[in-house]
Amino acid sequence: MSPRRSTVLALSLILAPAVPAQGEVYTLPDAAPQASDKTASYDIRVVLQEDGATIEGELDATWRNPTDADTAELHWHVYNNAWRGRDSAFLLEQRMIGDGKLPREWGGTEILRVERLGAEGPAGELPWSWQPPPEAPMDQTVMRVSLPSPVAPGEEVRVRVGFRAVLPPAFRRSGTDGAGGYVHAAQWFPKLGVFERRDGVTAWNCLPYRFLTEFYADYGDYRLELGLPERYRGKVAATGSLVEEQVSDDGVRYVYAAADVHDFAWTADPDFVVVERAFEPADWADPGEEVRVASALGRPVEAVRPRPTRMLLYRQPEHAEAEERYFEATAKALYYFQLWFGHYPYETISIIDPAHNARRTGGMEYPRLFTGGTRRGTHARSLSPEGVTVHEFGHQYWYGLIGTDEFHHAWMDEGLTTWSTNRVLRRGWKAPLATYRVLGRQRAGRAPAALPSYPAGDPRALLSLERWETPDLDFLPPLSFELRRTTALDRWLQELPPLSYWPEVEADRVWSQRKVVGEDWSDALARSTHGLLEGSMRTVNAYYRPALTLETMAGLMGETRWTRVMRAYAERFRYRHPRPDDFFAVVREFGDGARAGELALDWPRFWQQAFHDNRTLDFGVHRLVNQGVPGDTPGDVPLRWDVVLELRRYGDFVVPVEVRVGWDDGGSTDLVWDGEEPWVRYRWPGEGRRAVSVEIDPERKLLLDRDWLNNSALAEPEEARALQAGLRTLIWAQQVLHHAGGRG
Amino acid sequence: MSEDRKLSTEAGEVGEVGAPFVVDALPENRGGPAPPVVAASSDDPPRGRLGPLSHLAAGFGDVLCRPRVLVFLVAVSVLAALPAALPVFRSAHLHLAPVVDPASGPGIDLAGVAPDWLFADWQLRDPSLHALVGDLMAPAVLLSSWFGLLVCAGWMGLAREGRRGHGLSRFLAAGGSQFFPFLRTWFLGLPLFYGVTWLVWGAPGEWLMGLLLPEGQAGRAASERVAGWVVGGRELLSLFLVLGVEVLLDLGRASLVAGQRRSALLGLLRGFGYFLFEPLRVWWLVGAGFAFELLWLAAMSSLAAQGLLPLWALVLLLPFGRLVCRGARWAGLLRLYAEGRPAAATAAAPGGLGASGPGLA
Repeated sequence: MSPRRSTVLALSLILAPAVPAQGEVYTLPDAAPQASDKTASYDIRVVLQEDGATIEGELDATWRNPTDADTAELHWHVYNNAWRGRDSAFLLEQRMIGDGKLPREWGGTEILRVERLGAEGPAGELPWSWQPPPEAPMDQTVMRVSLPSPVAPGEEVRVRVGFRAVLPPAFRRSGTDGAGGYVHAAQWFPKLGVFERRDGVTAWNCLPYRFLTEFYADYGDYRLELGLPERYRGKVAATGSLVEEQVSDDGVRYVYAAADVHDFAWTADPDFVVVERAFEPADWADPGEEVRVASALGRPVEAVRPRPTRMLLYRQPEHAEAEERYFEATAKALYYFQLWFGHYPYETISIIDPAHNARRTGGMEYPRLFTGGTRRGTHARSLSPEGVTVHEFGHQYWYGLIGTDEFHHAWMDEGLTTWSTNRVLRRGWKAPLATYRVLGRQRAGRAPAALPSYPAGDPRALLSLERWETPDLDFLPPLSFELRRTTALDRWLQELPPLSYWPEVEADRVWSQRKVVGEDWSDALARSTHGLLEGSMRTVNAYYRPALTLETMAGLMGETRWTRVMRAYAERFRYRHPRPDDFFAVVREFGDGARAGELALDWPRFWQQAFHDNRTLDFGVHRLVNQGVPGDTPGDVPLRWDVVLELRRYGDFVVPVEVRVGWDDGGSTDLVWDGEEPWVRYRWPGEGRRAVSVEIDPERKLLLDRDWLNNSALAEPEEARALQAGLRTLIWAQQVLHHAGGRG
Repeated sequence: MSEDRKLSTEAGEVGEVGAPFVVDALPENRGGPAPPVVAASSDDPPRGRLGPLSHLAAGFGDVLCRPRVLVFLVAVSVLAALPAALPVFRSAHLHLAPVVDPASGPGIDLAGVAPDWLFADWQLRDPSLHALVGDLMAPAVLLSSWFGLLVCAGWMGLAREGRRGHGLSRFLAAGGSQFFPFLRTWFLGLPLFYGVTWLVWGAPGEWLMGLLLPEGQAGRAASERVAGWVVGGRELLSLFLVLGVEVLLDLGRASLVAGQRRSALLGLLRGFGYFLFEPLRVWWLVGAGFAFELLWLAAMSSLAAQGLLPLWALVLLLPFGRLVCRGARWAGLLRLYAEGRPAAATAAAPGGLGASGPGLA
């Protein structure tokens, strides 16, 4: 193999071009539409009953056929029916992958009537039926309404649906506190699916509510008239803006309006502390980043500068300590998302801090409203609630403003949101620290090791003085005696974290997410979210893996090109329903021409490997040798050296990689290896200096590289690290054994 | 007058608490004939009892005047932990030592700020390391618990002998002579630990949680603050009860040493009896002992956080201070127990301890 053939040697730092060529004037046209095409609009009139869980009323839906095909059906999501019984598609799928939790009480939505609306009002009832999937015949989360005549392309139809929804105690994403207080109404009303052309066929894209998928709907205008018991007065948050308030003996009545959204959620809690703040971009300005973004997009700084809006926080009374943190996180998210991805078009953003006993509704996104979540006693550098706040706000873009199909391509929402959340958090805060919790307070530190936890029935549990169990013998009944419950407090006393833990372990958001790269991936990124083998793959494929893939692409492409990619995608597909190929088309448009050294980056190939194939990216240093040249050494010290460097590609993902060799005279040499062959050897014969280090991907661009420890090598290892690691573990073990020495 | 009583009498008269330390090298402490036991007669005027803190202070004296024992115990502490630390050292030597510090983010010095990705990648490279350390630690925990019995018996035995025995051999001999009775108390303690665990975490604890929280679940509480207090209170109660059992076991062992008896069951009953009548004195002594230990830990933690103590110094100083405090607690408990109860002291020693045991000095 000829290393010369497969590599390019560069003598100076080689990076992908990060800025346009000198003299290039580039302007990214602003393609963001001012409004959606308002395919599905709703006028909803409901009352929340005294129990704080039952919502009864009706909605008038106006639907316009956006395709070029007729349809005589309307398909609706009735996702609240996932909680109607244990045989819903959601709960069946959840059980199948090993999670047997059920709601404490059942909820569900009853359809009272479905009528066609004419110019004069109701024009007759419409037949309707449930559309269960074959594997869940009892499922009632999709309703099909038959129309008396087809709706032609561009035509509108108006339908009235009467319904009664009972929200369960908070189970997953929606529900109540079960005590007539906190209520989080999400996926609570019958909502139209999306009639669209997909894979050459025009049909309703309206799947049942499944454990692994979220939501997909069309944009429109919403009006909600909501009656509530008097105790909720002034304590209601909603997707829309409040346009009317009435108080009567029966309670309170609010009217909200929201334009260009594809869902509507609301939350109420008599205990809410409501705080409103103005978001003023000047308060959070990052002038350097404004100039960089404006320059990358070829627009004036004023055109990219974020716009003011209002932040409404609905927090729990006992979370006063989190108030500033919620606001700061939301403000920074508003600032950077607007700067990078375009203006936030709505008047308000509402942040919900869920009730303690309804935390399962936390960490969810809805248009103009999201639920966060925090705990008392969080560490200042834990990024809680900042992490969840920025993430859920991020969905305002990749789920809210860009109507991602989360049934099939959850990564286009969660992945882009995770990636952009990482960017905001990296820019806005110090890296969070690894923490542990004891007696309600979170403290910084990370244990160097852990005592084993033996499973039930394992007699070895006595070794750690936790349980005594009879061995599995025929003549003995199985007996188990718990000798001690290892609580967080007990563990603290056992290990003395302030002295035995690593004190400050910085968990950089992006780099820490790399741990999923080492996991066993059963599905490629391209796989539809609802077709994944394991529930855990949703976390990998929807969140971290795409975030790492995007960051890798950004690193390879350079920040200027990447800024254009993300801005163009966010603007062109605002209020639309993009597919992965749409995203990739934008990547190609702005990424073509990016180079690693003299090597052009092959984006289709990268996309194939990262998205469609299940490939492993892993480059490593195989050997770094400095060999004294014989016969050229006066005495024992050689003056010239044959330096040999061997690199390997351990995975099957091929991409150019940068390599940096450090020399003992303080200099360095940068190379680019195309990574095509399984390994490569570089030789520097007769060098007057020795190589002291080699590092693959020194800028840490390849976030998908599964093993960074093999990415570098020192000619003289840093032995002090091993000593520090050993001593830290020694101290930990001493404390554990000392504690044991006083037990029993 | 019981032997137990004599100890307190002598301590009161000679004033051991404030006595200068007797160093190991002093020849009078090495195997010579024991000084005559000063037997207090029934005609002696009644003397006031020493406070628990005085006993604890005497316990500190007992421990600190035996540097060889402390050196031995610190060495054992290091050696016992080495099997867990060596694989980590070896693995770090293989996988972390040759790695180049990344250009951005924290470096890999592992003394101060360390990057989280490093640990994840390290685990990927050496996936069995944590399991290996855990598997090595599990039997070490059990052996440490038993070794703790030897140490406890050693300190109590030396406290019983007063300043006569200073050598390591005396410590080990004292520990060895009572090891098996102590081991029997260890086994007798298992049902007690099971009992308190069941009480707090079993049906009674669940019943109580059901009264305090909806369906007994913290996650169902309307208030996170209330849930936190209930859960934290349960952990504290569990800890307090476990500590109570351990103090009870230590008192039982003190009764075995004080009376030179070998019946673990009777010893525990005597200890229980003493605990029943003198709970405040016992808790005072034990609590003060823990307070001193916490002070030591806080000092170490503060110095380490300021970078004034390197890790290798912590390896030696941490166990030293903790071993001294624990030894002092055990020695103090022995002295406290041997002093007896006022009511019992005029007739008999705690738990009916008679005068048949060897003399206390």
